[in-house]
Amino acid sequence: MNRRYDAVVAGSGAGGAATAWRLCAQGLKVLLLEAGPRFEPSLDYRLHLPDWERQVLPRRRASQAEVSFGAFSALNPEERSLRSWNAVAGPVVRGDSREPMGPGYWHVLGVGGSTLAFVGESHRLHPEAMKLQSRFGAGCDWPITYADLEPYYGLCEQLIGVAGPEEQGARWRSTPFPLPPHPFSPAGRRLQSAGSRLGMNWQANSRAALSMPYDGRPACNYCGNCSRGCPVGDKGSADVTFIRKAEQTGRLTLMTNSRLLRLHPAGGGRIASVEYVRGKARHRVETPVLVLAAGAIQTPRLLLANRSRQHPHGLANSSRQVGRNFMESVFWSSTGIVPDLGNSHVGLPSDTICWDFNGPQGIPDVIGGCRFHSAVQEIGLVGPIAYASRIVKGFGRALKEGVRNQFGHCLSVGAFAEFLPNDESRVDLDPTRKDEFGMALPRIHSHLGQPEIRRLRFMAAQARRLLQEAGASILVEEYGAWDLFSATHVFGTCRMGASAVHSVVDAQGRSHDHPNLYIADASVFPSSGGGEAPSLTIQALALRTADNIVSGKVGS
Amino acid sequence: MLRSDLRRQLLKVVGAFFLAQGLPVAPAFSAARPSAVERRTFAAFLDALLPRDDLAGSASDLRVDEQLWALASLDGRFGRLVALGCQWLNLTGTGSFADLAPSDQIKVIEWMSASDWNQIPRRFYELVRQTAVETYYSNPAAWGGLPIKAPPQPLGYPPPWQ
Repeated sequence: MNRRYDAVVAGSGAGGAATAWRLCAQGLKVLLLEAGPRFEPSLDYRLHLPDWERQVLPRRRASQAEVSFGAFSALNPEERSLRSWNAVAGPVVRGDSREPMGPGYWHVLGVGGSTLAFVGESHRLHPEAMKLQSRFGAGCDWPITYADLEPYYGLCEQLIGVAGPEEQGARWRSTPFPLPPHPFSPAGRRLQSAGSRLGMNWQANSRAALSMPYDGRPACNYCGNCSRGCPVGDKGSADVTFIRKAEQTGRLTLMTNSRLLRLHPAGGGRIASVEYVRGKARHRVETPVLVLAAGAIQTPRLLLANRSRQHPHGLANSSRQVGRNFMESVFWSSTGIVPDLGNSHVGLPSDTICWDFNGPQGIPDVIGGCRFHSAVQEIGLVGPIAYASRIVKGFGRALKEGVRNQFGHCLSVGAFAEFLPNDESRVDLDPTRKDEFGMALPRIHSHLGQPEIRRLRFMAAQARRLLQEAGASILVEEYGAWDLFSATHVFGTCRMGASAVHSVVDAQGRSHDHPNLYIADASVFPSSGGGEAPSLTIQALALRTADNIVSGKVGS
Repeated sequence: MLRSDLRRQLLKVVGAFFLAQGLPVAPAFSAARPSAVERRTFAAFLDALLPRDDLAGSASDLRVDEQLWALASLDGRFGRLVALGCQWLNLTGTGSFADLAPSDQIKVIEWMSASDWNQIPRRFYELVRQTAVETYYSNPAAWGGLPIKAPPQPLGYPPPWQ
C-alpha cells in the first residue's frame, strides 16, 4: 500500500473530471480511477463509416455496467394516449406494465463517462427549482442557492466553450457565454416559427459544442450525431475539456479499467484507503480525501455494498437515505411528417429550446416544470435506417420509395420534465445478482407518480399542438416515460442537505458520516430541475466541492 | 428506438417466444451451411422486402442475404427463426416461395405482416425486415435517391441549410 496522492477520485464523467481538474489546478496530486476504457475517437466513433447509423453509443468492452430492475408499475389503460409507438412497430410495449427501453439506464463507462454520449446541452438550473419545498410545498430544497453556484457555472462554461444566447430569463448571469449561439437548423427554424404563432418563446439552446474554434479545438461541422461520439472534438465532453486540462497540469494520474471495490474506514469515520481492481490485480491506496463520482446508480451501490459490522447499512448511510429519492428523466417526444420541410437531419441536435414552462409553476395544476426542444437529431432520425425502422412501414417498392420521399421531412418535439421523489423510486442492491467481482448489482426501482403523469399529459398535448402548427400532416412516432424506462439523467440517491438525519452529504458535498468522503455527481441533487440537462450543474457543484476541499473549509 | 437496440429487443422477444412455444432457443442449427433451398427462399423473401429499382439494387444485389446468413451462424435464435421462416414460406404454395409470381409473394408477405404477433410468420417478418433494412441501408449503394451521399463525417453538413 502506498500514499502518493492528495486525493482519489472515482469516476471520470462530468463530476469526477471536473473535480480532478479543479484539484490538480490548485496543486493537488490526484489519482482518478475510471472503471471503463479510454476511447479513441478515430477508432471508436464510426461516423465516417457506411454503417455509422447502426451504432449509437461507443461500445467497447467494459464500457457499460450491468444493472437490474425491480418490478415496474402496471400501466393504467385510461392513460393509453401516452403510450410509446411508431409507424412501423406499432406499440413499443405490448405488455401491461412499464419496461426498460434498451438498457434502460443509458450511460457510458470510460474516460469522460456519459458525456461521451451526451448531446451536449449545457444548462443552468432554474433558481426556483432549487427551492421546491420552501416555496411550493413539493419535493425538496437544495441547501445552497443559485447564487452559490453561479460563479462556478460561468467557470465551467468558459472551460468547456459553451455557445449560447445572452437572454436566459431567470437564469441570471454574471459573465457572458464564451461563444455565440449556433445557427438554427431547418428543423429548429420550423419549430421557432410555429412556436411563435402559438405564443411560445423559442430560442437558441446553450450548447457544449463549439460555434467557433476555441481553446485548440475546432468548430462543430453540424453532422447531427453528437450522441454517437464526437470525432471532431468540438463537443465539450469531459475527456476533451476537464480531463485534458487536468492532464496538462502534470498532477493527474488516470487509471483506466480500474474498478473501485472497497472503501476502508478508520478512526473517526475517515476513509483511510480504497481498494480497486485493474485487470486481475487488486490494489490498495491510502488517501487523505476520497471523492465518489460514479453517478446516481453506481455511487449508492458502492456505498451500500461496503457494509460491515461497524456500518451495517453501508457507508455514509446513518440517515438510511443512500439509494432513496431516486429521480429519472421524465421524457416525451412526438414526431410528425412535415411535407414542406427538408433536411431535418442536418444541424446541431437540440439547437432550439423553449423554457416557457420550465419554472416550478410552469405547468397548470402541478408543481414542477418542463422544457421543449427540437429533437429530430437527438432521437436519431438522421439516416435511412431510422426511417425504414420507425417511420415508413411496409415493404417492397413502397418501403424504398417511402424512405426516399419522407427522408428529411420528420420534425420532432422533445420534452423533459421535473421528477418529484417518491418512496417507491430508489436504488438498492440486487439480492441475487452479482458482478464478476462478487459485488451485488444495483437494482433500480422506478415509479411514476401522478405529478409525473400530469406533466407527461401536458408535454404530449403541447408537442402535438406544436407539430400541427408546424404543418405536420401526420404523426409517425411518439415515445415517453409512461410505458418506457429510459433514463439518461438520474439523480438524488445520495441527497445533499443540511440535516444529517435526512440527507447523505452536506452543502459542500461532504458525507455527514465520513469527514474526508465527498460525492460529486448527480446523486447529490435534491431535485431534478424542470428538465434542464444536468451536466453543467454536476460540474459546477464539483468545482465548488473541490474548492472547499482545497480551502480546508470542511474536513482535513 | 435505436436500431441495434431494436434488433436486440426483437431477439429477446424471439427468445421468449421460443420458450413460450416450448421450442429450444438455440437448437443444433447449422446455419453455417444452409441448404440451397433455404438460401434461395431467403434471398427471394429479402428481395421482395427490398427489390431492385432504378435507383438502387435489391437486397441480394447488395449481398444482404449473405450477411444475414452470417448473422444466423452467430446467433442461434436468429438462425432458428430464419430456418423456421423459410420452412413456412415454402409451405405457402405448391413449391418454393422463390418460384411464386411476384404478386403472390407480395400477398404472402402482406399476410405475414398482419398476422398474429405470437406466431412464427409475424416474428420472422418483423425481425428479418428489421435486420434486412439495417444491413441494406448500411451500404451506400442503397442511398440512391436520398439526400445523403456520404457518412456524416468527416465533412459534416456545414451551413447554410435550405
